[in-house]
Amino acid sequence: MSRVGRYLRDNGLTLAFLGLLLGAVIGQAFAGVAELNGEQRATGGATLSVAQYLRSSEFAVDVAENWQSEYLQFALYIVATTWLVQRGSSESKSLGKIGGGTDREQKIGRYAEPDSPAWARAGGWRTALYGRSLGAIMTFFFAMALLAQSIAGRAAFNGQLLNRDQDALSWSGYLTSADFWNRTFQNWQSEFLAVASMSAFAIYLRQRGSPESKLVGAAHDATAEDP
Amino acid sequence: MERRVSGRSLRVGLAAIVATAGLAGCAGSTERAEVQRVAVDFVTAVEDRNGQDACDLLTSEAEESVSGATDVPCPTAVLSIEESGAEVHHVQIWGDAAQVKLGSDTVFLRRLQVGWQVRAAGCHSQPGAAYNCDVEG
Repeated sequence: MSRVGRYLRDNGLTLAFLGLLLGAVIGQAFAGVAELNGEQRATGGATLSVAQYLRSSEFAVDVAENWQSEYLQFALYIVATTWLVQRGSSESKSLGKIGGGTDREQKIGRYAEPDSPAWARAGGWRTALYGRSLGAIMTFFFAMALLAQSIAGRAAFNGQLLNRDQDALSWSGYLTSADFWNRTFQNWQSEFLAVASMSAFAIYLRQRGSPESKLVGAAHDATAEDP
Repeated sequence: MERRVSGRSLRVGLAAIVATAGLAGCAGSTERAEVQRVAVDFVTAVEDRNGQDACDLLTSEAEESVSGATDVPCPTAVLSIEESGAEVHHVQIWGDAAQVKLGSDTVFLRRLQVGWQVRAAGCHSQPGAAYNCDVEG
């Protein structure tokens, strides 16, 4: 297998989803500008090019509100599955392993192996931080995307307010507005539904060959790490 | 390795979104000057009793609303708006909408294919509600 072929195979999951992301964003850009321009034409407003739409608050808020909810979903799921289990679900660890585990189980400090990451071996604050880095980075991206949503959402909403003969809102005013929380909750509820569905469906349903599923022949009440 | 590549891409993407979000509400100085000029020209035209010039700066919907159900043409009807001075106190532009507070009036504008035009004028704020406007389209 060539180097390129090996690289594509080794990184197929990440690359495929980055490609899907790009395709979906392009699709969103064209569909979004078509919708906006349709409304503008109906009311005699100025239409936008795709490039102008990509710089608009309408596009930015639509992207950011979805991104923040996705990162919130993963941040919560990563942290929650440390402490919450689901009997029989491949998304859960075994019922007796609730919590962060021992240093030996986690291969950290003096239990680190030769190929363990340096900060897993270092001990102290570095190991403590590294041991929470996945949830932390997802939380950071969630916070940044939520911030972006609040800034872009305020700009888009203020345009609507001015077109309704109302004063524009300050950023803090927008944070307590119905528009901000309606956008936020409507994205959050769908993420929580997806997690609850996945956790429950994985008890009884299988996907042959997928690491997200138990083995096809595994018992319904067997969780992922059960022998 | 793939996590580092993915993380960098995501950071770049998020930075782009935050930057876009930040820029989205910013209007250029040229646009601000244009919005201000249209609002000042409108108020000045009304004050100078130059109804036709004032009507030329209105959106077609606003122009229709000036006359309302009467037969009074726009250039005459628009002069019923009470104006006192065209000193600009405040300009806000958000997307294709703008608000200019000048003299005793608040004017709302909209960006159309032909440029910025006055959508509502003679507007007075009301607590907890939209502005009450003499002209609105």
